[in-house]
Amino acid sequence: MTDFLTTFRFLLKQNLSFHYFFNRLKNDKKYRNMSIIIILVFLFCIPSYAVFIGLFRELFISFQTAHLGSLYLVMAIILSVFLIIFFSFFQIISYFYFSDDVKILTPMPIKPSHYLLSKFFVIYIWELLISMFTVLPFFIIYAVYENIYFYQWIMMIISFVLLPIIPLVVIAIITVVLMSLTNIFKSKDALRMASYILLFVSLVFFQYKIYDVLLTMPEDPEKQLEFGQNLVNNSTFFLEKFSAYYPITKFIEFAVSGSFFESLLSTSIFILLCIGFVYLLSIVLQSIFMKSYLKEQNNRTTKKKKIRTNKKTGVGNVGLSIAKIDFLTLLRVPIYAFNTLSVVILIPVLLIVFSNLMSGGNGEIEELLNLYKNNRDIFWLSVALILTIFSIMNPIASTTFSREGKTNWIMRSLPISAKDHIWGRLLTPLITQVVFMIVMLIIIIFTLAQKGSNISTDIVYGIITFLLAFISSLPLLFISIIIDLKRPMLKWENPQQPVKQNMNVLIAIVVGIIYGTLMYLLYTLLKQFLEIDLIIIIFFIVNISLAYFAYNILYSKFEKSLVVMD
Amino acid sequence: MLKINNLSKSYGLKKAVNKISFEVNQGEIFGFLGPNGAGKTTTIKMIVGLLKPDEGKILINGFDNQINILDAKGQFCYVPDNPEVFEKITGYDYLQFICDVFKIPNKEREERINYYLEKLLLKNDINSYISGYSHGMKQKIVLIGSLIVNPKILIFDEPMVGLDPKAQHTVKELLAQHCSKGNSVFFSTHVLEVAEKVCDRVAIINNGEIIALGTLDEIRKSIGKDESLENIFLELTEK
Ligand SMILES: Nc1ncnc2c1ncn2[C@@H]1O[C@H](COP(=O)(O)OP(=O)(O)OP(=O)(O)O)[C@@H](O)[C@H]1O
Ligand SMILES: [Mg+2]
Repeated sequence: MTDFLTTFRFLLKQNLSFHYFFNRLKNDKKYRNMSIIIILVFLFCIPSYAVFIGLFRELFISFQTAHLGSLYLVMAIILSVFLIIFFSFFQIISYFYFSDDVKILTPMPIKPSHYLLSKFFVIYIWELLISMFTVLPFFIIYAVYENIYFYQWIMMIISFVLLPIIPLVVIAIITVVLMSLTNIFKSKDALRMASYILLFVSLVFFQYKIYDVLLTMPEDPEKQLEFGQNLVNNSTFFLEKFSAYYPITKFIEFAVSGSFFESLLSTSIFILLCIGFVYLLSIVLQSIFMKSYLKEQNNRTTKKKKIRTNKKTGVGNVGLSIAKIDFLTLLRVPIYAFNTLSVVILIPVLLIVFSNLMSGGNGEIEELLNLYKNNRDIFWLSVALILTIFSIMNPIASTTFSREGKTNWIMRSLPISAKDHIWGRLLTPLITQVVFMIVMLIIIIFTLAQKGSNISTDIVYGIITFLLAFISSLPLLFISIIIDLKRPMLKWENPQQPVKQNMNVLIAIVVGIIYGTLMYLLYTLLKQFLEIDLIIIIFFIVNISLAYFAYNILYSKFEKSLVVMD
Repeated sequence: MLKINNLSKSYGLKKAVNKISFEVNQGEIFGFLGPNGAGKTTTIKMIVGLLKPDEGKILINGFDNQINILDAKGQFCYVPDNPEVFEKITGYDYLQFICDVFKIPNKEREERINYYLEKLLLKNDINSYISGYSHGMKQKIVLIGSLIVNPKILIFDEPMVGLDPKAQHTVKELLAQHCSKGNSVFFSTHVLEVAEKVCDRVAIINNGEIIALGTLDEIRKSIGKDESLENIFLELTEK
């Protein structure tokens, strides 16, 4: 038991320690700046979160008027189970099988089931944190509007805390058993790919569902109420079925609506049941985990022996060759992929979700459309500016040398010309950028078309916007490379450091913001004398010259800077 | 081939390398010996362009490595004392990259790569990620990366550390082979037997200064004793 607690504390500290967090906050300037940005992003998200909570409340009122308040809680439970299935499956695999600490802990005199259980509880705490923002609001809304008693509140909170345990245990057992039977995920890469795809598909699916419901929503407020009730009636069958097959919902129902003894009794049984499940998990882990873990490790080593018979040749071009290594590394180190490449998927998805959520009734859409039609030029110009600034927010370019870390001697001592170096390092961020821009523009054009705008005009605007954003991102990318050339972070142990704790990323972002402000000022200045077409041409000229200057600065300093990089 | 003139480097107040000069001739294996912290790695890093000298000149096959940086780099291949290599590519990808940089024609690539892979027994692992390599395997892949280029001069920092006896033997052989083609080798080492066996000439550095330079016979003559390199080394670095 004590080794369970020590490993649990150790893992918890690694994963989420406030003490550590505040200490860093006090002593590490970079970290502080980062945290401020993260907090700002969170604050930025609050309004849309509030919208969601508002929706949940409306939903509850619909349920309540149909006297089906408890089914509303079933929805919360479904959500919780759903979240667990989605997030914890991959988390369990990566925590149990692919994490380095298992390698360290296995040879220690600690029972595997103990440290695995502590890992399990770390996952559980993550799950609980996520539920606090997603599932808990349902419970609170229910409690407030149903006016439940104080003891019911307490039992409800206890039940909420226990809620993730049983599904998590089930999934953990399934995972371990599956892994011991077959080797589903040959490597981290396969696992990551699968999880990305699943996440993406589910996001799109949800998005589609929400949109579907919103589209059929009538405008008349009275009909809206009826519509809500229909929705409730349609879902009762499913919800009742679910609660019949998932008996845990009964515990929660009793906890929040039963008499004092019913509530107490059902919660106590729930607690005992959870303990039983955890015990079961420990037995399973004890008996088959080690076998499956060794099998997995073994698979990884045998994989090495495979020899490709087909002869490949090199890329030929030095710049391309550098870009290839850069890109492969970016793709294969999860933390890099997540911080750089995933943006290309995530931001467009967020854009789709928000653009649909934000567009309220049909009247508003018309107004928005008129607004757009009257300010087309400014709209697209701002899109170009925003896309450009996103390009510098991506840490690919501003960490190009930092990411090389201890291997920096290779690129620095080889006879690679400044030109090859620059193009090799530019290619990955540039291509990422271009893909990102095109995806974003397509989404914007389609959204506009859906709302009744003229698609062919928008496409023309979109192409010009793309060209402008592309040209304008060049100087920023060159500047990012200059920043990292001048002060790279080469001494690191963990690949997270050069992208997450690198001041260069922040400097590049500040440069981007300054650039954006200057461009905006230039626009407001020019607007007073010139037509918009001319302004756009001037923007092209300004950015091409900026790119030229930035490239020349970079080029002239390159070889000498490589020598004094350390 | 390699000409060092009056080279100095300090870290803060500490003079790591102090006005050293020597020359490596064509077709020669040159050993750079000295105790820990003598300044070997510092000197080598200045030669290969990873460190800026405080003063002094380095000519590599006639190219000043502070003026004609790119030309100078084209003359050598370097293997550091701790060869960290890009982790997330395969050994084969790494070798292809080196070939791309040195513009080795496609036909010759396969031939050379295969030759050295067989010599150093790395064939089985060439298609797996370098992150899965042992220390010695990383050392081997970097050594192969330098040998396939067949540069004018090979610059190695402690090439034998981490290699098994068989690989050490092979490397010695390959170095001799490299020189027989009219190229040169410059390497630092602690292993005096290796130096004694393969080096045409050696320099012994201590506290940033060269205390002996020449063929083994010349050095023996200068101190007036006919002893093994080990004894000479111990005697000279004692002071
Ligand atoms: N980055 C550095 N900062 C400060 N001092 C350094 C640095 N690198 C080396 N030194 C100092 O310079 C001197 C020479 O070091 P160098 O690494 O060249 O020794 P070496 O001959 O390669 O030793 P070894 O045989 O242990 O590899 C040492 O005294 C060392 O302390
Ligand atoms: Mg050294």
